[in-house]
Amino acid sequence: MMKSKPVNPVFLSAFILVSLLMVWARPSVMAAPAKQFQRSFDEKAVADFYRGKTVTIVVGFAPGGGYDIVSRLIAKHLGKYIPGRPNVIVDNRPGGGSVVAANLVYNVLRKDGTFIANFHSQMLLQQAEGREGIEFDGRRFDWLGSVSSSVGACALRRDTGMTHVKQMIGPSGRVVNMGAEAPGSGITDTTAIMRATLGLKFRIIYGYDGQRPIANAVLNRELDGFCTSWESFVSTLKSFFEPVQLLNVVAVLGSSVPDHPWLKNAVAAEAMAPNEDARSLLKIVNAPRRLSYPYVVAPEVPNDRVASLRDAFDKTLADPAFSVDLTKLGIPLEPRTGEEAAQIVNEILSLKPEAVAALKEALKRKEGP
Amino acid sequence: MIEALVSSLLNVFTYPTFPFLLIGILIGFVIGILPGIGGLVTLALMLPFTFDMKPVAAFAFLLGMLSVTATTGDLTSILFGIPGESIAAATIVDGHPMAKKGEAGRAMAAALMSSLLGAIAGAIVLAASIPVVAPLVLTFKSPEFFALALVGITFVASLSGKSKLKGMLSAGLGFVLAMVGLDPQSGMPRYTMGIPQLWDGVGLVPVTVGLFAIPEVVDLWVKGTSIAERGSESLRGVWQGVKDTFIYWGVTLRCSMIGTFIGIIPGLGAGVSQWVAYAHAVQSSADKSRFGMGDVRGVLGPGAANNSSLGGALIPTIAFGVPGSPTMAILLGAFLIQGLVPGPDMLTKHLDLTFAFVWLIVISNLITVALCFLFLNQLAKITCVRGALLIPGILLLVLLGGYAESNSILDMGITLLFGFIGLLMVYLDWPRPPLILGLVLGKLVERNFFISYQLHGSGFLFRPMVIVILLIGVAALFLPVLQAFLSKRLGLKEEVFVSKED
Repeated sequence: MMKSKPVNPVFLSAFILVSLLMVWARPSVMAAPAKQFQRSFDEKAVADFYRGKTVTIVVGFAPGGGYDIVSRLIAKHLGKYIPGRPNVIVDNRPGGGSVVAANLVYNVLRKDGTFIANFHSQMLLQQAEGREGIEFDGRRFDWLGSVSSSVGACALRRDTGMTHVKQMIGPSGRVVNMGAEAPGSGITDTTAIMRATLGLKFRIIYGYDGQRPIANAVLNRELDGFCTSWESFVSTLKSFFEPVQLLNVVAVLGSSVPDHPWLKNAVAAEAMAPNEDARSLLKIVNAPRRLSYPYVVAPEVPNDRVASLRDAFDKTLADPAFSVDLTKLGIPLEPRTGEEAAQIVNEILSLKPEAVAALKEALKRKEGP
Repeated sequence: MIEALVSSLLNVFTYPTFPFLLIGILIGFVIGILPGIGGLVTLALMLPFTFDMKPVAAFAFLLGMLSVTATTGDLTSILFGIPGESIAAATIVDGHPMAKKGEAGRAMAAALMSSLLGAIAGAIVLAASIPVVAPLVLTFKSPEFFALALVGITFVASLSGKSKLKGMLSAGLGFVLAMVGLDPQSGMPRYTMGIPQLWDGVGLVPVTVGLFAIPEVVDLWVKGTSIAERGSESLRGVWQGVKDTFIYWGVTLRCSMIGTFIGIIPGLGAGVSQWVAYAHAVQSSADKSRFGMGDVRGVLGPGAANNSSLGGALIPTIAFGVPGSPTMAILLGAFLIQGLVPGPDMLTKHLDLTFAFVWLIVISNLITVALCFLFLNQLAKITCVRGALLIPGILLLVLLGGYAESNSILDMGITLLFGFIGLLMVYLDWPRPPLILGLVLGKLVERNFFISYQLHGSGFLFRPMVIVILLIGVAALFLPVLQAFLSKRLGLKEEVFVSKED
């Protein structure tokens, strides 16, 4: 009987070591090419793929809302900038505050570059807090970019007499009723973080079913004020300022106050924050707003197609016709490239455990000031 | 003012406004008939097309669609027992039994005429009330919404048929269903079984479509006949339906006012007003025995209310930019796109546009009703087609309808599940409308209760308007008992207490 040849132990050890290294490094190895933000692509190969196909923008909200309308505007223009000029349509998959759409594109739908997700960037903060139901990793998405950028802002009814945040701080500060949804929404988190970091005497009234019911409640004097994005104040909530100014904006979440006549008495929350920890919390809570109306594809989409989609996305946002249509909605065009978006996502999702704990503590449900 | 009224009417018939109005009507006609695919979603899909339109043309396109969906939705509810629109579900309760008795033409004619009159009533109130509606709209806050939603529960008794206990339990089941989703106070998932699609709750459309449509389909299959068990009546039935609207003018008018009033209150809308109107039609009748089995008043009430709600909902939308319903929230997007700011400008600078809305609602309903009457007899003949030929198409529409709300396969499953539940309820003689009402009102009751409690503590129950609303509810609840008691004790005829037309 012939003896089998013994395996070279050096070769075996090296093989095992390399295998272990590959398994351990697999996520980063798989992700690395996408995250290198390749910008060049083989136009002919990409065109051959997309020709005759349909690209679907999966929107995480029902038709008619801001996200839906912006996506339909993008769909109107995007196709002509993708090589092969595919048809671009919108598919609404509402649910879970847009988490359903994000989960679908990340896990289920074809990862060949024909599905783009548009979901609320607030989901990234929820991923950072470890919220259940989030079945994606925001860092692994390939980010095409975002359309707009905003900052949180808090406003109170003029007839409350509140014109400056100092009137709501300290022992003589007045308690004001601020409307909110459930914890986890942008409105609620902005209100909570302002209270936690600046010591504002906000009594948060939870449970309203969205920005509109909160705004109604302020209009009929059930509430004293609310916090939302500055972009909302200048667009969908414009009737609160023109022709008659009913609200005073007292604070914005960022490091400086935008130059606008409605912000005469507003303070920049980060400038007023008492310490660096408070400033970090304010930055993190506002970070999702810096990525308003974001667009992503799944991590496994081939790099060439990701690069071509990024290029097409940038050109769409630079298209004057798109800009005109967007202006009609009152949404400011402040685009971010895929690279910039990924950097912001990394800031949100790279929090240390103690920072996450501080964030959760600041944002947890607490009625009184 | 008169000049603005006249000039806006003439404007509606100019080019391109009138063609866009006709296109909107055509779209609304089809969408209303197709179950599940609602006016809300269609409005949102039509919105981007209005970017390049002038304001009157844009609103002609949108309001033309919106004005007719409730009308044609009633037709599907009557013919097939499937709600063509979720706001046309109440029409099924008496409309479909009328179709089964061979009175489809009468039911449809009654629905059309009451819809037209309801729409006109809503439009008139819209035109007359914008300058004065502000105090009314601003009076209603969370405690008052809580009270209104609670009073809505008192109408459950009217929807319960013979067994009030079963009705209350059915409404209770609806309340439990309303709790599925994220807790509005803490954001924690409740009864979602780890499914993110359920974070927003169980969809009203799949539940409604499943609960009402599938039992009817099974019934049709088991019977083996056509929908109309005794053959369809002739054209005479159609004219009878028209006459019914005027014979029972009190019900029609009162339910129009109910729909308009509920439409004005932000957060409510035609989904609630149709049931309140139906309950009022029942409660105000001396002879309640025919309700649920094909009483034409059960068609007139919801038909009037679900159309008048549009005019009512436009009032706070135009006057303050406060949407009176989810549909109005989308219409506000149209305002934005057109560069219009709701508020005082709509009553001064853009008064002609505001009056154009009034005319658009009236004219689109007139055109739709006229068109429907042309084909009414042919539509009624569908009820004579063998059920085996209709069932596949109806089932397809039912499942598509369930799917279309959120493009979700889960919703199709919910449709089937509630179809099964609906079958059980029919078999065990449990009323289904209270379950829907519980599902709609449960969320309102919970949200507004907790908001009111946070703001006012238990003292919110002692606010004057809350007390008035609750007393109205108590009165409505005990009115039938009081009527019966007084008629026995005083030997008075019960008809003394109800509308003369009975």
